[in-house]
Order: sequence, then structure tokens, then C-alpha cells
Amino acid sequence: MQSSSSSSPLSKTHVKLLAFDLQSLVQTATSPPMFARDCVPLSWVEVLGTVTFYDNKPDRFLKFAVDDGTGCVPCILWLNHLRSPIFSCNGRREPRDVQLIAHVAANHASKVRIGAVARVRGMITSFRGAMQVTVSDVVIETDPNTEILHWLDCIRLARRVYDRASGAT
Amino acid sequence: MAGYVQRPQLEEGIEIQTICLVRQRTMEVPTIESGELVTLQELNTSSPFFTHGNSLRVTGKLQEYSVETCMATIMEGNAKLKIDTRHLRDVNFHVDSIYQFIGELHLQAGNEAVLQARVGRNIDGMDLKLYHQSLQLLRQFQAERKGKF
Repeated sequence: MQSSSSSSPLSKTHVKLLAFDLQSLVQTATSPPMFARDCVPLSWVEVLGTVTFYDNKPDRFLKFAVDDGTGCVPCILWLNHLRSPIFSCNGRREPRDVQLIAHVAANHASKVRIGAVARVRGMITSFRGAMQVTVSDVVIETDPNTEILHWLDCIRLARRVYDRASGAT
Repeated sequence: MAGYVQRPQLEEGIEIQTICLVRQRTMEVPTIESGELVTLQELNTSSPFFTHGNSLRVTGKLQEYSVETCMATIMEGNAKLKIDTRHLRDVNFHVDSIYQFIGELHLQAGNEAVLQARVGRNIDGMDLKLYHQSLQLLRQFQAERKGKF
């Protein structure tokens, strides 16, 4: 089932969400995965928090979790670009482009460590019913106020943008 | 599917003994409790946070640190909390610097609380007044949203 409102601008941008808010999303479609917050379709997310779990399988994937104080967000960063036909689009994507994507992903993976504050962007997905982020970007934040500002951004955007998009007051 | 219980392998060679994980599949990120945001003043014996095993995130100024025991004491106003830092790596401790720790609360004899830290970082430069104000806004927002779920 594809939501009729999947063309909503919010479904095409990275929405900033707190972990507990992300975990409350409802899945409305599976391929491509689509989720809804108060009936507003969302596909991409930006979360920020302290890395509290890390499991690296070189050339396969990096699993990690970020804790923003309201919950933990499981994240998966694929590192198997050179081995999986999915990333080459079954040969339709240039090998040099695939290598570049693999290099960028490996670079993101190298920055993730326990205790770092990571800003993570990616696609909202679910695995066995649990929400997770399939990672496309990771930025390690060094300013100690970044996490506070992320909380305030999330609250402001939720009240002024996301809630209004859903018609909630 | 039956999962297996495993102690978290946070970094190579480091095991945290305080929390247990249930890992069901290789691809699944194990369930790790989020450290609930709490101020040291709120962490008193009558507080709901003051429960053995609770996962918490605490912030305070380092008052003392023992290299021998890996025990640190942080304070915020008049409130203090002991932090067991034995599982932390790559954290340099400086008295009077501000630190944030995530871990599990252990209540010892006499209701003495010790946070078994699994994550710690120096947050010198954090605007603590803004932090406390934002924490209240965050709790208010969470309560509003959870009322809608």
C-alpha cells in the first residue's frame, strides 16, 4: 500500500526526530519502505546522539546505536558495496561510482566509536518490527552543546511543522 | 525465535558486566537501554530514578578521581554521585571539568548509589543552564507526545 500523500514534502527530506518519536512511527508501505507520523508520510530521518553500541563487520556492515536520552536508535551502515549486486544496480551503475560509494561508506564507518556524538542521516527502515536507520551519512559532532540544540530543533520542528502537516494543533 | 543472552561487547576486549543483551539475529542491533536523562539533584532515595539497574545519563563536575580504583565523584550543586569508570577507555579525567556518563545505577549497602559507566565524555563548554532548561522542555514534549500514542 502506498500512501496517497507520499508526495508530501516531508517524505522527501530528512526529518529531525527524537528516538522515542522515531520508535512511534507506523509502517504504511514496505517497498519502498514508508512510515507515518500522525498520518504524515516520512522516509528519511536525521537523529543525533551518543554512540552506545558498535559492531563492525568489515566489508559487510557496521551496526551501531545512538542514544539521544529519549531512546536508542539502531543504525546499520552497509559496507558490502563491492560484493553485492544491489549497489551496482545489477551492472547498471558504473564500477567507479560503486567504488566511490563504498569509499564514502568506509569513511563514515571509520568515524563511529563508542562515546562519540554522531549525527546520522538515512532511510527509515525496520527489521523484525523494530525501527532502524539505514545510514547514508554520519557526522561526528564535537561541540558539547550540539545535542541540546538537536533536542530543541526536534521539538520546534515537531510543533511547528510536523504536527501542522498532520493537521494536529 | 529463542535469543541468546550475551554481555555487550562494546569495544574489542571490553565487556560490560552490568547489563545483559538479548541478540536474536546477526543483523539485529542488540537491545541496549537508553540512559534516561537525570540531574544529580533528582537522584535521591525517594526518586523513581533511584532504582537498582536503572540506565541513566548523568552530568556533573568532576570532584575527585582515583586512578587506583577508577572511581570518580561528580557533583552538581550539593548533590554528588560516584561513578565506576573501570570500563571506560579514552577518557581523560581532570578535576573541575564537566563530564557526562551513561550507565547503570548500582545500589550498594546503605543505599549508596554508584553509576557503572559504559560511556563517558568530557563536556567542558556545555551551557549547563541551557541544558537544564532544555531538559525540562524535552520532558514536557515527551509527555505531550506519549499522551497521543
